Amino acid sequence: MTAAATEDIHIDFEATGFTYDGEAFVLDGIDLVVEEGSFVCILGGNGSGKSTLAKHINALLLPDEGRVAVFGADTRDERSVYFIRSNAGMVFQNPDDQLVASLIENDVAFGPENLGVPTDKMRQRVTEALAQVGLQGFEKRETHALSGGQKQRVAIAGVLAMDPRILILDEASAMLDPRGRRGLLRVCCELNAQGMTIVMITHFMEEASLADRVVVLDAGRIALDGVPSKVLTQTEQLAGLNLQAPFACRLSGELQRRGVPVATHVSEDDLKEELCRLLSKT
Amino acid sequence: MIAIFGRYWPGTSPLHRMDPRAKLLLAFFVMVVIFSAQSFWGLAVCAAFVFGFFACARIPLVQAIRSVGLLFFIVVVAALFNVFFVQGGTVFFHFGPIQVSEAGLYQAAFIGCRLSLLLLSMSLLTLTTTTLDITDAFEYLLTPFERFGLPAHELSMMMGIALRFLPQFAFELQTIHRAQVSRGANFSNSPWKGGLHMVGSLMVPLFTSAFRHAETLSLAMDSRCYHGGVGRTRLAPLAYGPLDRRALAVIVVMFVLVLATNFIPR
Amino acid sequence: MPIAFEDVSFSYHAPATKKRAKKGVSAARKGAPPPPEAWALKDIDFCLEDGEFFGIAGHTGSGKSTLIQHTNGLLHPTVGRVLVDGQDILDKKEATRARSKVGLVFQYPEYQLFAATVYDDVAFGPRNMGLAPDAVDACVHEALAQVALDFDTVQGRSPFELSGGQQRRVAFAGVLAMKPSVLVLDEPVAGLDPAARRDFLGLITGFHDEGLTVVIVSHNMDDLARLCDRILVLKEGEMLMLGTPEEVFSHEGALREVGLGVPAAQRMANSLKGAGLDLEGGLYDTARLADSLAALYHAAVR
Repeated sequence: MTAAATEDIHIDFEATGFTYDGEAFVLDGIDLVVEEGSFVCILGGNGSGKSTLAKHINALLLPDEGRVAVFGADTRDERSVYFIRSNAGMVFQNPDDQLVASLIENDVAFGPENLGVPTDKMRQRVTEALAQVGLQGFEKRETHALSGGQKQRVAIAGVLAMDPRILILDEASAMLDPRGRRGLLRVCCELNAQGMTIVMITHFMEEASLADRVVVLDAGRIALDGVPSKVLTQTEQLAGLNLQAPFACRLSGELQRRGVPVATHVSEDDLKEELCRLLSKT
Repeated sequence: MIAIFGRYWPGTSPLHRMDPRAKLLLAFFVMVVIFSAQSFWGLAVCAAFVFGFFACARIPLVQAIRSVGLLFFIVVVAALFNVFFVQGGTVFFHFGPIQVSEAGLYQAAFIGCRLSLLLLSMSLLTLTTTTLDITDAFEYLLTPFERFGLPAHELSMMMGIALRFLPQFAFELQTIHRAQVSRGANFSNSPWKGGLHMVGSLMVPLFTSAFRHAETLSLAMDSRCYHGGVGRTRLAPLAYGPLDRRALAVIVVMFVLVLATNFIPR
Repeated sequence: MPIAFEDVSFSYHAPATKKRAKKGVSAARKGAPPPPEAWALKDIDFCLEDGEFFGIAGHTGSGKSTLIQHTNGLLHPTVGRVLVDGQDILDKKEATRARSKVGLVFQYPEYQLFAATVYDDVAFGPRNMGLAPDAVDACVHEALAQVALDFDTVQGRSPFELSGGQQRRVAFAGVLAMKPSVLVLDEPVAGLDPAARRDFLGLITGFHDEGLTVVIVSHNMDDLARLCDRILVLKEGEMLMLGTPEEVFSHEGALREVGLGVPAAQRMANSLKGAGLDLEGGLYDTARLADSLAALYHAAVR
C-alpha cells in the first residue's frame, strides 16, 4: 500500500476541474484541503457540483484537470484505488440503491469480503460496525424491512466495517424524515468525536451548523469557506446561492433590522441566551 | 400484500443451519423423489415428509402456502388441462366436445397434488435459506465450470442482487400502478385493452427506475472495493457438516419408501 | 367538493372486499378482527372542506400515505366509509368519478413519467377520461401553463431529457390536466434544494389561489404552519391532533414525542417564554417573533 506522505492531510484537491461532456465544467478549479479529524460540510444548491466533488474523494470520478490526493495517494494511480476507497468510505443519497444483500450482516460484510479480510476477523468487524451506528443485534434482520433512516445507518456500518478514516455522506439525509435525519446526524457526530474525518454533502442548514467547517459551492467553484459562525451568518449571500441561512441567523438579522443589538448567531441556544440577557435586565 | 415466492423466514432450525449447497442439491433430489411417486400412496409418503420438513423448520404451513401464492395458479391450470384432455373410465358429464371422465379427474387430482408438493418443497429451500446463501451455493456448485469460461461468481452476484431488488421492484410497481390508476388508467378489465400505452405507463417507469438503481448500485459497489470474485473472503464460509449427512440419509429413506409404494397395486 | 372520512379504519390484512359495495354501507367484517397492531389507520374521522389548504403530518409509517390513498378509492376502508361529494366511493362508479375529481400526486412523481413526449404524458389522464382530442389539447395547454412550463418549448421533448425540477412540473401537470377540484400532494418538495422548494411551494399556493382544495403531506413544520388552514397529525395510524396551525403547534411536547417538533420560530418563542420572557400566546413566524421581541426590547430600553 502506498505510504501517506502528508499524514495529517487527508484530502487534497489541487486546482481540480471536471467535466462530464468536455464542455461545461462541473468542477472548476477547486482547491480544498481537509485535515484529519475535521467535520466538513459541503453545501450548495442542485447543480452546484457538490456530489461530483464527493465522488472525486474516493476515485469514483477522476479529475480532468489538476489532481486529487487522498492520504497523499493520487486518485488517478490505479494501484491505490482500493487503498483510497477502503479508507474513504462513501454513503449515497438513496437508501434503497446501495444495499447489496438481503440480510444486514451480509451487507455490512460486503466491503470487508471484497478487501479479503480473514473470516475470523470479519464477524467481529460486522458486530462492531453495527454497534457504532446503534444497530446492535440487527445482524440477522432483513434490509428490506428497515426504515429509511435505519437503512442509511446500515450503509454507514457497511463503510465502517472497512475500517476507514474518512466518511463521506453524499446527501445521505435528503430522503429521510426528521427523525431519521437526526439519528444519522447523531451517528456522524459520535464518529467524529472518535476521530473520524467526516465530509458531509447536504443542503440542510441544521446539519451544516454542527460541522466545524462549511464549504459552499456554486457552479463548480468554492464560493464561501470557513467556520459555520462565519459562513452561515451571511444570510443574503447564501440566499443568492439558492440556500437559506439557519433560523437563528435569520431571526438575528430580523432583530438587527428592528434595532435590537444582537449578534448574528448560528445556534438557537446562543441566540436565546443573548436575548434573555438583553431583555431581562430592565 | 404481494406474495413473493418463498421469502426468507428467519430461524435457527436444523434446516436453516444446513449447508446451502447440500440443501440445494437435496432439494433437487426431493424433486426427483416426488416425480418418482407413481400413485397417491407415494404422494402421501412425500406429503408426510414435506410436512415433516416444515415442522422441523418451524415454519407454519399457512405461511408456506401464502408464500407460494400466485404459483398455485399454475397448479390449477395444469390440473384443469388433465381434466379435459385425459379420458377413460366413467364419463361423468359432457358438454359438446368437452367431457369429464373418471381418469381425467384422477389424473388432475394426482398432478395437482404432485405439483403442490413440488412447489412447497421448493419454497422450503427459499424460506430457510437467505438469498445470499443460495447464490453462494450456486457459485460453489458452478465453480468447476469456470474453466470452461462460465463466469460463476458474476452469475451468482447478479442473481443475489436480482433477488435483493425483487421486493423493492414489486413495491415500486405497486406505486406506479396506483399513480397511473389515479390518472384514470384502467387496468382492471384487461391490461391490453388500452394498447401499448397502458402497458408502457407501468413498464417504462419501472425500467427507468431499474436503470437508475443499477447506476447508483454499481457506484456503491465500486466504492466498497468490489472487484469480482478474486481475493474475496466470506463472512460465513460454506462447510458441509453432520447435519447435511443426516439430511441426506432422511431423503434417501424418503426415496426408498416412495419407490416401495410404487409396488402397491392400484 | 368535500371529502368526508367517517370512522375509517384500515388494515392491510383485511382490506375491504368489492362485494359489500352493493349496499353502499360498510358491513361489519366477517371473522376475527385484525390484531390492534395491524391497523394502518384507526378511527379516522374528519371532513376536508371546500377550498381548504389542509396539511397532514406524521413520521414515516404513521399512515399518511395510506390515508391519502383513501381519498380517491385506491384503497377502501376496512371499517367506516369515505364520502366524496356525499357519495361513498366504495362504489366502483363513484371511485372512478372521484379519481377525476381528486388529483393525487405521489411522492417523487417524476418517477412515474413514461410517455415519449411531454405532451403525451400530460395528455394521459384526459385521454383516459375519454375526452375529445381538442378538449385534451386544451387541458394540456392549461396544465403546462399552471406549472409555469412553456408549451412550445417542452411539449415535443422527451420528459427524460428535462431537469429533475422540470420533470416534477410535468408530473404535476399530468395530474392537473384532469381538472381536479381537490389536489392531494404527498411530500411535493422532497429531495429539492431550498430554492426549488420555494418555487414549488409557490406553485402549490397558486393552485390553491385558483380555487383548488389542496392537501399536502409534509415533514416540514415551517411549511405547514405557513401554508395550511388546518393540520392533521397522525401517530401510528390514529389522529393525534386536528386543528389550525396555532392549535396544533401549541402542543410542542406531544409533537416532539412523535418525532415532529414545531416550526423554528414557535420553538424559539416557547423556549423564550419558558425562560421567563413576557411573550403573548399564539402562533409565531419569524417576522412576528422579531416584532414582539423588538417591542419588548424597545419598551425595556425606554
